[in-house]
Amino acid sequence: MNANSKITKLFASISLLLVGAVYAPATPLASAESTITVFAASSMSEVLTKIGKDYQRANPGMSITFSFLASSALATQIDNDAPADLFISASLADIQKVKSKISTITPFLTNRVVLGVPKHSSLQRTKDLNKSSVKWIQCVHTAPCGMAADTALAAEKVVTGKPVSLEDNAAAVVAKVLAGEADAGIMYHTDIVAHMKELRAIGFRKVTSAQTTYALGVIDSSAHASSAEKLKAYILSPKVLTYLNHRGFTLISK
Amino acid sequence: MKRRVDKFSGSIAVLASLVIALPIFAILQRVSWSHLFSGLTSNGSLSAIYLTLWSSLLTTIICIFLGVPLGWYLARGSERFTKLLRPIVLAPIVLPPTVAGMALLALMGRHGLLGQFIYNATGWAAPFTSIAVVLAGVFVGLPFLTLIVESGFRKLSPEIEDAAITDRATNFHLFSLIALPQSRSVITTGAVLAWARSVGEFGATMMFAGSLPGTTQTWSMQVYQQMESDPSSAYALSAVMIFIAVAVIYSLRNQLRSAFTS
Repeated sequence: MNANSKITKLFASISLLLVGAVYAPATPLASAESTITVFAASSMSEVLTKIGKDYQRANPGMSITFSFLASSALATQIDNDAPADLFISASLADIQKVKSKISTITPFLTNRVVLGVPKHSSLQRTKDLNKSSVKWIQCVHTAPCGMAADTALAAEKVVTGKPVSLEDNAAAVVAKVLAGEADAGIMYHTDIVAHMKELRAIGFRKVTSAQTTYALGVIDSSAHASSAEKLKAYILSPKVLTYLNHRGFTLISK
Repeated sequence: MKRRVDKFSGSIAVLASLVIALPIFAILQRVSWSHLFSGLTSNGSLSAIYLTLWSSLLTTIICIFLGVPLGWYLARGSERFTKLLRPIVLAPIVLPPTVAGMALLALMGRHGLLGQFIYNATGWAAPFTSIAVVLAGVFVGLPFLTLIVESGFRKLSPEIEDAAITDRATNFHLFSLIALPQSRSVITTGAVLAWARSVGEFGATMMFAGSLPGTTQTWSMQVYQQMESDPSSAYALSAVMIFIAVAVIYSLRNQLRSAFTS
């Protein structure tokens, strides 16, 4: 009897929770007129979070939800009809994979990969990666940061060693080098700019081979296409581009 | 006695079965059967399968070795300790794998609580090694085995034990000669659950062990990566996983049933 009533109470509270969860979205805290979902490369998570906050402050009623992952993973999700409104890819290749769903693709930035090491690391040259005691990581070959790393290493021709891990996305590489689990990681120049106090860069000699081009586009089937276009225009505005430039991204001159 | 099921339960049971069976059916119909073999052998899938099989087997052996005595202690030890110990050792059942990954890094990473001493003394650190895959598996799998085994030990009939005590059986005899032989199906069930949990492990492994083909890239990670570059291979890998899951559950159906009902 006692156990029964306990179970009944448990079920009742679970049901209440469920009802709450179902009805909660109907009465959102802020009366957002529009919610835009932005799928963006993990290498832009810090800058876009800031840009998103500024944009929402300037446009009350507008709400932005970001999903940060490797651009290749995001492209796969968009290909499977994920409800994204705007896609910001760290490589042209990945956004072109879904060009049937994005009619206007706008390249707007470039970034390059470097070898990122802790500030006081003894590593000086890319060649130092060959030492067996050095544990270094890079992104998985399918992700933009991994592709750029592969071409950079191939052009450099001096690194014969292998990474100890192929991380899922750019942010994961930075996190593991910052945590000291890896001695070095092939990451973006912009990651070094964002962590000037902890990290320093060892550049690849052939800079062009280590480059990747960022591009963005509104998903054609988006239910919030006009809001997404406005956000896109904001990101491409001189003010935001200047900010991105300060954070280490290179602008594509028109 | 004739078996009867009322219409209400029956129809909900049909619905429940569909909730589980439909996704499995849906993935199987996407598998390109003519390319199953090539899908399984492409892009290092074989090394991921091999790594997963041996690491999960080692994980299971360690879980049995550690978890059976732990389950016995939880069932028979002083309640004062066990009531504090149980929530701690069973916590990973509830923990998200990412939290498990962070916890393992905090302990065994280069700068971890224990890892820093190992690293300073030997230059070796667990992250990015196959050992890390096994450690992650044990951390998430051991609680399942412990939980099942403890409840099995609690259900053992006290009469046999009393008789053994009368015959001057030592405490260790009670465990090894009386409790263990009666608990084979419970231990098997616990081991299968621990094994399954370690085979399916993804988040903790990716955070703690990393992902490198042949060393730390497990079956489930391979499915995730191939989904982007070679979906047909990802579907082939998934199909084989489903067959293994169904075959394991089917072949152990008697042990599973008796472990949960006795």
